[in-house]
Amino acid sequence: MENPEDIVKTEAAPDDGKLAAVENELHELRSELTALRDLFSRRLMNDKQKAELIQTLTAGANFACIEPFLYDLILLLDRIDGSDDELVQSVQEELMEILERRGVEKIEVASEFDPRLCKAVRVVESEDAGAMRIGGVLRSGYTFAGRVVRPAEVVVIKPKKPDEPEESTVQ
Amino acid sequence: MERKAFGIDLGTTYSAIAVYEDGETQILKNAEGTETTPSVIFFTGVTSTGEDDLLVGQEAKNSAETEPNNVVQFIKRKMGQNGPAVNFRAPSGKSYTPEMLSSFILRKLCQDAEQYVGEGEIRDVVITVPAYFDDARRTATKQAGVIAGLNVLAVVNEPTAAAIAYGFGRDTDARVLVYDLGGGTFDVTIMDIKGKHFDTLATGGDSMLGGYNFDGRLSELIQKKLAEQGAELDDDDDLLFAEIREKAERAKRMLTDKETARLRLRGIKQAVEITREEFEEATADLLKRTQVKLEQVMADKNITWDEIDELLVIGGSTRMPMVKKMLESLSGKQVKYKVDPDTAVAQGAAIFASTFEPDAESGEPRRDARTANAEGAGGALANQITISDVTSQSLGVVLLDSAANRKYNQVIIPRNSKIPTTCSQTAYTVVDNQTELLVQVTEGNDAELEFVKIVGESTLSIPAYPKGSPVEIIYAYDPDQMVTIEVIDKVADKSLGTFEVDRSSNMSAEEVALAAEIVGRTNVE
Repeated sequence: MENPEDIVKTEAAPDDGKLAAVENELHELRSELTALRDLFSRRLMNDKQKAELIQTLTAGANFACIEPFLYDLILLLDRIDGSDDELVQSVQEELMEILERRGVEKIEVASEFDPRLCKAVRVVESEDAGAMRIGGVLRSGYTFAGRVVRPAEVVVIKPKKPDEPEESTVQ
Repeated sequence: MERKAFGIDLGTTYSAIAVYEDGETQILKNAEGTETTPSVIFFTGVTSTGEDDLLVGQEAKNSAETEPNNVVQFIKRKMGQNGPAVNFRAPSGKSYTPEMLSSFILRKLCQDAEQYVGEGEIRDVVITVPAYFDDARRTATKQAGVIAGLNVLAVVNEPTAAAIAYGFGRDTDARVLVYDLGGGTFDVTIMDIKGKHFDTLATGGDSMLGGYNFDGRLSELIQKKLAEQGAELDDDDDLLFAEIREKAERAKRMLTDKETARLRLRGIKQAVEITREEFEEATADLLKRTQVKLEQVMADKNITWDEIDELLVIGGSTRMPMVKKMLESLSGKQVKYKVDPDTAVAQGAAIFASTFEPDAESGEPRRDARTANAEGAGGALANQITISDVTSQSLGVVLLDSAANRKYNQVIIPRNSKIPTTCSQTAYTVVDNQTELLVQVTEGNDAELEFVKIVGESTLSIPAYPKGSPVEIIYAYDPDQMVTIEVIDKVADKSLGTFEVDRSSNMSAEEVALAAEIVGRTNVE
């Protein structure tokens, strides 16, 4: 029969091999934990990037779906814009209100020409003009969710130049 | 971040950039939030340091009317040409070549796309060109990329890129006819797709036919109908004609789904009704032109409809039902819209570009750019996309018909020959004791010299022989689309010399480096 003291001794002082095995296992667990933590961080970052991408794509898809429809309504607005008829004016106002509720905004044209929001369709030269400025709006422009559906089509007044030499163009 | 490679569709009217990542292609939007950017440049003025300031894209288009002389568009049609007639003189007095102008478009595309992928991340790119582009125009396109500070991995044909977008990952084994009707050009290409190998068999096209012509016909039809209805149109009312053109384009889209489109114009009470049948009748000859070209390409290679497995349509104008109807009636096969007609080219270029990206594990390049177009590249590249192309133009030599005392063009490498290829022609000296041979390289099919282009020439010495001594002229077209000419003295059976077609219409390496400096200093928005 085994001496109980020997058993205690054995348990109290495990041999070096077992200790090394435990240390090794612990090291492996630590490495695994680090790898998992790293994977988790990367997945989290990935999820965040994907969420942002989905948001961008959804906004883009919404715009792509609605843009042709909005453009047709804008063409309709063009036809009734400036009408003297009170009923037509009232219909125009109501239609614009409906569009505004859905995020469509009429572009407020500033005094200076801004090609991000305006498209020059006619140009007038003036000796008085300093920078290029707006001489009038021929067709209103509209944005939807911050993106231009159609730029405002404007008359631009630009400074009159002295005689210009002829230039070649690649057209 | 792992270094990515991008695909660019550098179009005549619009351009786009895409990336392939995690098995998906994504079109990278521009600063205005749209997938395509108008290929338009507007020179706004000169900075205090004497550099030009310019806008590219929609803002350039919006500003065009303010200074029409400072607008540049349709640059692609001028690629591969040089000289004052095609260069653009900017407000600063600097002269810009088509390559430099195209580089501004490339810079704008990359700058905007870097919003999504990180500043300075876009360097390695694949750029697409029409299949009919000759090597001068391909070289010019590549140079545009270099001037923009990009590393151009490859220049790929647009139909090939579209076929990659279609065939990649599908394990396709089919002969495909690619019908590409874009805004300004028409192309048709026949190719074999075998897994990841894309083999072009024949190509042809009409660079002056596109959706724009169909819009023009519809505008004329609208005007005719308005006149019939008693509306008086003022010929000087440019705004009215612009509106007609805009509404014609929308009516064309409407007629894709509907049999009838009704449109109304400002200040005119009558609505104009256009039926699909009327539109198709008014544009029947345009569609017929595409059919003739298509049948010509098939006949060139003796390919019949029975041998075509799939019809692949790209370009926005292929949405017109008449295109589908014509193709189905000719082929007896169904047209299926398997790729996005507007973005397939950029997507395919992005997929192809991704095969150049370094291996994620080793960081080593996965392929050598020079093998990109090598036919049947196998071994280590067996899993990669391989592309095999054909010559888009015939190459020949100017010979003298002694009996008629007339110079003519003798085709040596016919159009649609597989690349790489080597062909030869035996010619004979025309006078006794002739000591020099003038070798003029031509591009074009016609025997008449007035209908072909001289693209290179060299004068070689030959020993004095009697008249009628034979020489062999050998043309070699390599995978990089470089043409080398060697002339063999058949009497002594030795080489008289070799020369490359040094395209005088392309910029030299020094000119490219200088252009890159100028473009690099220019502010592009």
